[in-house]
Amino acid sequence: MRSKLHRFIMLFLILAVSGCTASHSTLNPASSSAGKVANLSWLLFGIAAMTFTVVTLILAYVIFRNRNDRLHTISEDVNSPETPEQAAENEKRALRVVMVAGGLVPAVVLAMLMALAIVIEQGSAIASASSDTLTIQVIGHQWWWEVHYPDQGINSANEIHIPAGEPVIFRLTSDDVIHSFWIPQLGGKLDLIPGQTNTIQLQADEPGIYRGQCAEFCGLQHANMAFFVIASERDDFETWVNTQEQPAQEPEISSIEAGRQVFMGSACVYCHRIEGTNATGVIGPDLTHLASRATIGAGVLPNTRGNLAAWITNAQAIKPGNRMPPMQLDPDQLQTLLDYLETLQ
Amino acid sequence: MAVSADRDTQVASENLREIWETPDALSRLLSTVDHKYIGLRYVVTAFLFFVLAGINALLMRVQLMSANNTFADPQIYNQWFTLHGTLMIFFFATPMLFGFGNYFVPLMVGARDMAFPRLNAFGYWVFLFAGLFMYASMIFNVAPDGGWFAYVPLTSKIYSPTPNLDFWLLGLMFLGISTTAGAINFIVTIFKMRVPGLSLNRMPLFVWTILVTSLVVLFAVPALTTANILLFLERTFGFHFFDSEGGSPLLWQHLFWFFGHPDVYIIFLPAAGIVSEIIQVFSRRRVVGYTLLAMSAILTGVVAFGVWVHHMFAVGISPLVNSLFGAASLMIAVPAGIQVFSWLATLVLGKPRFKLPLMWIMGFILTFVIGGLTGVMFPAVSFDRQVTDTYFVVAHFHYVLVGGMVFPMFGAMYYWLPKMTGRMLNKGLGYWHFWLFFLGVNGVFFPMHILGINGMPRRVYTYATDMGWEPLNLFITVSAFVIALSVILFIVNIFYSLWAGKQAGDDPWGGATLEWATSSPPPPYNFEQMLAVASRVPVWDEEIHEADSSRVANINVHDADLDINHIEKELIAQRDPSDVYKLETIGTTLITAEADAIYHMADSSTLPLLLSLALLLLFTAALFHQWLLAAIAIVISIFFIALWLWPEETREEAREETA
Amino acid sequence: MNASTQTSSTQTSSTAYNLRQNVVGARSTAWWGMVMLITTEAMIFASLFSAYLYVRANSPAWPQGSIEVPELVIPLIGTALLLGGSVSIHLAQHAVRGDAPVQARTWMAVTFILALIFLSLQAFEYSRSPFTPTDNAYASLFFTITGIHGLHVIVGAVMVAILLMQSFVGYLSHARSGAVMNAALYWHFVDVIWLFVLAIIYLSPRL
Repeated sequence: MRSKLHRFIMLFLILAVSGCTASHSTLNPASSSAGKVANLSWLLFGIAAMTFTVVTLILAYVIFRNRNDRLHTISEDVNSPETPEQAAENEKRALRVVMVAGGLVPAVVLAMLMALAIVIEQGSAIASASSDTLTIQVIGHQWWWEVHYPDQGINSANEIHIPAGEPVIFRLTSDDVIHSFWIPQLGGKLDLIPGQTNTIQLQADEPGIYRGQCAEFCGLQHANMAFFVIASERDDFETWVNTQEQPAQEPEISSIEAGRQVFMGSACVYCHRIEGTNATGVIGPDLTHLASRATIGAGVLPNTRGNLAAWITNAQAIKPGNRMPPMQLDPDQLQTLLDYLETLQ
Repeated sequence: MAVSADRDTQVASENLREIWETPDALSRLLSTVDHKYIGLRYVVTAFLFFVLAGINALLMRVQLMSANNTFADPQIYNQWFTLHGTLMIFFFATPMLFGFGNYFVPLMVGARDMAFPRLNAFGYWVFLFAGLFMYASMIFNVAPDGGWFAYVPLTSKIYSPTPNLDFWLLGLMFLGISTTAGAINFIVTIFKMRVPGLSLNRMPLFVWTILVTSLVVLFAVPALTTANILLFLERTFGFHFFDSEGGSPLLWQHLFWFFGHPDVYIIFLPAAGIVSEIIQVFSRRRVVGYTLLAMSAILTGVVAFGVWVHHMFAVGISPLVNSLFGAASLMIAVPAGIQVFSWLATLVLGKPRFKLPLMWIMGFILTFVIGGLTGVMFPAVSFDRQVTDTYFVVAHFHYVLVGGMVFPMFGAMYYWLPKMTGRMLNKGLGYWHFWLFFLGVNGVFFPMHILGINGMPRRVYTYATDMGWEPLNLFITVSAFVIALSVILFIVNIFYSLWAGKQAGDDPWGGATLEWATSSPPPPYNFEQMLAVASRVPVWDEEIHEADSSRVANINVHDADLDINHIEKELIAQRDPSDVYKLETIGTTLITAEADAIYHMADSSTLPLLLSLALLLLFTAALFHQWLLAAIAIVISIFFIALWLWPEETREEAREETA
Repeated sequence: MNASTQTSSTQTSSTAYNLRQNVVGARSTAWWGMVMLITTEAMIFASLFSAYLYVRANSPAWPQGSIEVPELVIPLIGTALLLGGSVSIHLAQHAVRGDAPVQARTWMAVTFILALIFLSLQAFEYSRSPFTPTDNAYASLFFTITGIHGLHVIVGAVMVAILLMQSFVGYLSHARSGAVMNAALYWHFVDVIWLFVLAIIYLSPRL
């Protein structure tokens, strides 16, 4: 019961957070390293605005100075009254200004910015990870995220729970095409590439729910490939870990057992896995703790009974092109199946 | 000018017309090798692709207008944005600038034509057919859908089994032939066909930038072609380069961006050349820092090859390598800054006339500077990894490309179309076009910075209401239609000008370079007399008039040049109508442009058209895996090439025979 | 005005400028065209070699799978054939410049025949290869790079064949030496590329 309540609270939170426009902004950082990047961004924007203002002022000067100018013939304009020596001297002075304003100043400013950027980048590099640093493996799929906690033996999807205030190491790879792992509030993106494991260290300073999204074009449903990072206090995190480590419970009620029969007797088992049962498919997300997750379809829909029913019946209508085929179930079967799935806390 | 000289000139021009013109309209359509027709065709065709790619963009904007919109499904949306990028980059930007180059490089260097006139015609036909080949995919609803950089493995056979990507791969390989042929032609024309006295350090800056761009093409395009060949082999025959059978998906990215980044400069550099020309003419002052501008172009072209990894900061390459490439990327800012300040200095020190071409260049400066300023942010790797693959990048490169290429292109249209058609464009429509376009572009692309920072990834066909991205997207869509309206006004203006435009005269703007020293439009032979120049601004330095139509003979007729005219006349006098070596012109030395040789120019021919049709057959056969047909197409191609290379009798041989 | 045009300004005949027709080498457009073509072609091979070395750098073993390092006998014979072709086309070029069309034709024929032998050897090597291009990335790269080089040999052979045909109709004289020079230039290029193929594809896996 507690976990059900827990789920509703979380669902509410996710909806609330994602309703807030700042939730996906790089300038609303939730970690110190993302904060440094945000500050760097403001610095860059500021310098850019200043430079742009200078250029605009020069153009404005050019326009207003020449507004009421008498019209000359080309000959008068091109053959200036100055002597060749004067002209050469003026040209030389103009060139000096061009070289300084256009070459030297940008070079110096940019070199300084580059140095700053390198310092920041190195700050976000993986610190000497102690052995008890939480490591999470994320595998990209078209179009969902497989999540493993190798040390804890937890398998999940599209939802990553981490303890707040601690560095977490993500090992990223892909099962098919290239994806990119990006949680704007926590830091820069890193690609998931088949045959290669990329490692990134992130930290959420405060408990909260942070939205992530695939950032590398990965095919039809690239747009609908989101996930949520739930950072909670260490205790809450431990509780979550303990729940997730359990295999699915044996149904005690016969109607739920009937739902399990529907699952085991249908095509579900070819793609999905439920720990502690005969369902061992690896194509789709692990469903052992499906009911504890807040969304389905990689952040597409809140995980409600109605949405789950719609998804099972015809996921193609919700997320065209995804790998889940429409399931032909009569209404009774569907209801018992949903009953069963809801027990997978 | 003495009367006798006038008569000579008239006789000469009649002779010249007979020699250089392809008179009959139908054969001109199929066989002309005149760089002016070819240049005009490039410009018109490239503009057509601009409109088609623009329609794709508008469709995308309609879909993104509101959250959860169902106007488009993801399948068609992915085709729209892939084809939008592909057409804009490959079939609009480069060919458009090559078109202006084709038309104006020979005029600006005083040549009668490009160095290889038939190759030039061939380049155009291949461009046209490659473009039709690529666009046919849209019509058959199998347009490429892997994004314009087509990352593997998404574009490999497993994840993209339909022929969409084959259209893309073959279309770009096909187009590469055209781009390469064009680049070689420009380089040789610029190296060897300049009029006497037009030494390298007097070349117009547009010619300089076309030269550098062509060299960059020669070094960059092969990387793309190679990548395309490898992926085609992998998709078609099951080879392994990029997949898990020992290959590497990142190999594609390295090859692609080794081409892809320099390609940005391939597009920007000639546009920068246009900017230099227009700023010089309308500031009525020699451009400040001619040497700096030429050196900047060269430096940009060189550094362009050392920065490709900055497109790959998020793929997991070591931080040290990332930082090195970041630093290299920043170096580009130096020549760019010098160019911008040279232009500004010219405006400040000159006496600018704010006519339409210059307005577009002012628009260019403002827009391009924004693109440049966001550009120098990306080398900061940590910043890049936040905003790459978001709408911030979309905003950045549209500011660079629309600012850096489309604004100068429209400037060039207002500047040069009077030379090409003999008619001025309408000013009133022109102002509307400019202001609507300027506002529309900023209305579309500026908000995209904010969307990107707010986390909107690029290439998403839909987004949820609660992301908060909807109001800006709606604003962008409305602005996109403002751009569309402005482009429609421009098209109306073109037709209006052709129908009722004011006569342009030879030199409506008081131009500085040689294209203004002949009639508008120029005669088939470009100049009646072989010119010789002793200045960077030859037209200004000699007779400076306001719109004088009878200037042609007056350009730089120094005593030395009389001899050149004499040679020309002698060449004409020696001709008899049956002489196959009638098309002759003078070649000069590479650096100082001293008269050096007589070149025989190729006559008009349908072989370029036939050869490109044979190649179209080859690529179509490859698309459908009809290897026998492909082999036949190759044999036909070789046959046409042999015919093309088949020599005509030399003058000496002809003389011996008659003797 | 630069000095050379100044001094010639008193002359009135075209010879004062030494304006010659049928120029060759750096004075001709065709030569420059060929140099540029070779430049861009060289970049294709540079890309291919980079791809090879990149994949190799990312592979635990090279060659991949159970493939043996390539044998050297055939490629070494091939090297001799191609270098011989370079020598003979050079002699052909020399002969045509000296207006000796028969010699020129003979040397071009030699080049053509050497090219055919090289291509036959390559076909033989392919036919007895224990692996196919679809086995793994190493195999694909091996066949692609040697194959694309082979295509260039074919192009060079076709060039020589077209020149041979022209020579039989009498179009082979000093005035036409430009075309032969260009073919020779292309042939030398194909040769130099082969040396890279030999070093990278055949020799380097033994290192």
